Amino acid sequence: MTVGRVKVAALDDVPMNGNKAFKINGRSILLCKSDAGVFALENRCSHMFAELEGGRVRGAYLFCPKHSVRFDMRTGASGGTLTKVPLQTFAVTVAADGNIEIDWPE
Amino acid sequence: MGNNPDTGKFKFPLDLGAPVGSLEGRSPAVDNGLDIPDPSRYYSREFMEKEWQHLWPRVWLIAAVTADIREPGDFTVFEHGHEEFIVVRQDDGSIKAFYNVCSHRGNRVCQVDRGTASSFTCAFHSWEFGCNGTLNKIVDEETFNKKLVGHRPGLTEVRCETLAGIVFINMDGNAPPLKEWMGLPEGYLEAYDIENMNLVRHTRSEWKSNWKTGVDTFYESYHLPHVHPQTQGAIEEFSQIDLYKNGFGRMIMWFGIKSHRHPVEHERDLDEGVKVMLRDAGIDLATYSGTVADTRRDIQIAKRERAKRLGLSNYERLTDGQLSDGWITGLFPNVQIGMHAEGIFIMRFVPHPTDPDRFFYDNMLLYRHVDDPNYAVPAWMAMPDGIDVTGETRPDIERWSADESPGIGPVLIQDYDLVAHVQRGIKSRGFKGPLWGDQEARVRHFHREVDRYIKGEIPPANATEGTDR
Repeated sequence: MTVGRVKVAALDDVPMNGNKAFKINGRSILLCKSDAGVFALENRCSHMFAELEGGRVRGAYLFCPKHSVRFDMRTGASGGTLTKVPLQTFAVTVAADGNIEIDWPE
Repeated sequence: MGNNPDTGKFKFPLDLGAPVGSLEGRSPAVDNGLDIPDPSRYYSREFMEKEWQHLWPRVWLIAAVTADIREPGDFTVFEHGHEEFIVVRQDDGSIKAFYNVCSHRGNRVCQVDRGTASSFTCAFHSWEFGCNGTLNKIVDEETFNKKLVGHRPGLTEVRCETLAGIVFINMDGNAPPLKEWMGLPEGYLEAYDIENMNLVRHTRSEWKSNWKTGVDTFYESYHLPHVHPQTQGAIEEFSQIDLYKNGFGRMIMWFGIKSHRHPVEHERDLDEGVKVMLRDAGIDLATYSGTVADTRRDIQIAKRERAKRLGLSNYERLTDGQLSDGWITGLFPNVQIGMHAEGIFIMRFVPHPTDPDRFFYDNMLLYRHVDDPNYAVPAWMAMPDGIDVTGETRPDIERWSADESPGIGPVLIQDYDLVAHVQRGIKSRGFKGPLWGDQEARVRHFHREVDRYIKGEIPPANATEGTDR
């Protein structure tokens, strides 16, 4: 397992106001891009464990494609009443070479 | 400046003298009689059931505001009694509404207040529906007999029409079109440019009374000096009352002026509430030289000038009175909108799903953001500190159950406290029914229209798919 800063994808691999999942250290990580920035979150909804890839992105928020639970991509916090469990988030750096890197915890 | 009348000469009904036929003009007289209704309408389950048979399925209900569903896939859920509806912006820009019910087993398809989606997936067996209501997917469809699902049962659609940035639904397939049914004069709602406002605060609190007890309270200003004495220095309670067709009504309340009951010590005896309104209009109190007779007019002049400076073109459609006053507007059956140049309060008195002694007071504050240091949410609107009013953030609904004191501001709390006592008193054997006076003409007008539905004076429409309970 790689810890510390991990390269995930090129910035252009992630659509604007969209997202794409990547396998990192055996886990599915969702990169999201919007006018609010680039974000990395675990690709599993804390409500019914659906994959979040394909969910709509609006500003700083990601919506689960299954049951529309809203997550704040900055903090992972959920909105509404379906789940109170936040998503794990990863600190993101967009490197000078245009790659998206995330901080993988030890 | 200033031409406010001598407050000592105020008498009811207030008559602004605007031309008949104008939006500000007085409505033609309506004789709603002097009947004293049986108070059981406020608490009996039988009357509640009648409302669900004859009233709610047949009237246009405010389900959403377009500010909440601007982009395709944006949706919001509307709760009304035991019913729920999903209101969704379509790819072609139109808006559709559906019962929030999975066609498989009846589960609520959508269990969040709002959001944006490409489809809706039921949380029970993951049947998936498109934003246009079509059934996209049945999990393990081969295990269903085609006779059951061959017709591809999608979400059940209800009628949905939009007027002036407000989205209405109607469960009755045969109800007249919204514009035909709308009792307000043409152009009334449009003048406020609601489409360009954002929903900046949304509260929903459970109140301990019937929904009609709530409507009755908000449909008259007679109670103002007694329940809200702190408003006396800045609001005149004698209103111009206008009764429109189909149970609609309006009262024009003068803001920025002392009540005719309020003592005036001297001509510069400006109330603190009036000072707030002057400041809200951009007037510098340090240099202001107006008297108690000038304030309302000066607020109008200041707002007019500010609107010109800021290029707020919709102000051209508003009368001077609309810049200072509250046009308190009733949309039959269960809505009152406090209409002001800067923003509007849409108040819905939502019936409880099962209990005639409860309702939900739902208040949506829409505000037109103007990026100028001399323009802000009027202080009297009682917005808590720290709320984003730019429209960048659509806030979650703030909810309070019946036993929690809702954070809705000091004036509305007084109404919240009041209605519980009224509801209990109405049920007493000692109460023989409401005695509505002329200042309560809107209340009588409202109940008269309720009765037209309940008593079958309006011919029942044929039931159509999705209209039955």
